[in-house]
Amino acid sequence: MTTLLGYGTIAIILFSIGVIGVVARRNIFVMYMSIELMLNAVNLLLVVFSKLHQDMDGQIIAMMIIAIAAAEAAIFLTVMILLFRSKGSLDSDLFIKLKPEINR
Amino acid sequence: MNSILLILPMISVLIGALVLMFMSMYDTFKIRHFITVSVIALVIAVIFSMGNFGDLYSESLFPVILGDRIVFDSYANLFSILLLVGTIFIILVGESYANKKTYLKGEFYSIMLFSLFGMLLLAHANELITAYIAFEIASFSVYIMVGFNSEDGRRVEAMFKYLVLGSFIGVFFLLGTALIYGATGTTNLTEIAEFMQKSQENIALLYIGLTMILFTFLFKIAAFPFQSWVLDVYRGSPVLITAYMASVFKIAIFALFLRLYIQEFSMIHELWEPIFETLTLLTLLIGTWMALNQTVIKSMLAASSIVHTGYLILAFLALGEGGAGSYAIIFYLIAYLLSAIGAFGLVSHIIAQTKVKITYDDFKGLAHERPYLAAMMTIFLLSLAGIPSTIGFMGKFYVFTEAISAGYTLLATLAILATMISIYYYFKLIAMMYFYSSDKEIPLQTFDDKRISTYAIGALGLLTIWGGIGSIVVFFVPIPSIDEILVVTQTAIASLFI
Repeated sequence: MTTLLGYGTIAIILFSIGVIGVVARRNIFVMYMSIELMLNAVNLLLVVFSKLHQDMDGQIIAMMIIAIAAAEAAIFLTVMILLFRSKGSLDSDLFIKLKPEINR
Repeated sequence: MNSILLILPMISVLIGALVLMFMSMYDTFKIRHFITVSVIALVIAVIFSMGNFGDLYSESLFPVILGDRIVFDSYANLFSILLLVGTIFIILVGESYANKKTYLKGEFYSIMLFSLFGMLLLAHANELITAYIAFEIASFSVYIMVGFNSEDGRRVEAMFKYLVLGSFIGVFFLLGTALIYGATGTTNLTEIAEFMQKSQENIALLYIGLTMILFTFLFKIAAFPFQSWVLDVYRGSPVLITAYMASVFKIAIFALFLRLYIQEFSMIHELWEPIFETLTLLTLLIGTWMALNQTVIKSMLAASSIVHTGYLILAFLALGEGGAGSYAIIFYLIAYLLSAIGAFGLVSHIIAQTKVKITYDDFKGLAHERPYLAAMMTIFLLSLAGIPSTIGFMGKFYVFTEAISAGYTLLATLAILATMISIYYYFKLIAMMYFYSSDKEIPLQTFDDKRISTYAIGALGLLTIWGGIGSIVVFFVPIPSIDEILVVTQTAIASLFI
């Protein structure tokens, strides 16, 4: 029981690191990796709960989330290629075409 | 056997998407072929759904194989018909836009039908992971459609912003699901509701999980703390996709969350009541403020969609026990679907002929040059502003009635004030069209238009008017009236409790 609690805590810590990464980092690739980290934290949490309930559903859901994350990776990499082609950099501060005219 | 009959609408949408994908390999097919095939697939789907329309039923699909994951009831059926009809109208209204913009190839319609498939699945989902998968099918397709013109930097940027924020908030949905699974040991909506009724243990984890899911909902409908992506994404995407996101996608999300709210969330209503009250107030305020400051018509419509979200949250607040007030939400969604597709579609129809980004000034003298388009735009704007004799008035009427009878008089008054202010930015456009003369010399257009989108806009305008005065003329002309829509929505809600 205590080991399970520890794994749950690790999952929540990983999730928080992911949230901070998306919010604080400016590199688009790092943002993407942080989102993947959040997804994997959820996977870990699901496996922990699956063990807690003695029930396989959580692990099946974790497998499905891995598949969804793969689909998300495809779209993310496409966007990164398109963005890199236009500016030659992946700094998210460079992409300000859609900023309202008032603030510029 | 019965399950196969019920799933036919979704199957025909999927087959349509696959056929379109294979067609797009060949250069011989023009854009009108793709439009024809996609509309045929969607019309077949509507015909299959119409078979059960108005009946009261609730069945789970292939219960032996899939468990209780996908459910077919009158509620899902009503929303499928709305989604299908909305997509048909978007494809038809966008016909002239798609003909002019060369980057819109056949794959575009294939992706649109795939995303529609995801939305149909979303309306039928009775389990959180199924809902998440359906949600992501729909979202991923919409991301791709936003950035479909990869040559244009603005489109790619809009896609990037939507993708990062959308997948970021999507993970919160998953975290919520994981926590609910941890608390209850199931992700099935019916079983969660049963758990909540009898058990009082582990309830804190369940509350946190449901709140996480609420975040996703508020982000996707662009309510107050999550509203800032709307202007950027709606302005950066092609106007056809803006129409799709603002109307059809929004309705699909409401289809899932109204089901969630009636079955699960109503039990923790007391916890969320003050939060929802604040959110309604701030959404109305910020949306109105943003809409007042826009000069581009697309941004104005995008910002005003935030205000409409505010009215819908007010209706959620007034839902009451057992979802008695939910007919107001569904009716408002129907009204918003018609008028938003009409307004955005008409802007796309005009953009197809000019190069400019459409601002208020570009509409000067439109009534003189193209009286038909100006009249139609006036109808849609009147409906969005909620002026009597249009369907938008009826929608607002029901929402405010429900809110006042549920005891939220102050919030309803503020919402009515927001409606009054909204008349400013809607009627400014009408004034531009009718009371100013044009700066540029554009040849007068006689009505010999052969394009489908002109007629589709006309049909939308007629539906908008019929929704407003249908119950009055019903005494003279035997046509279906608004009361029948209300009966259908009540049947749909009743089917959730079977």
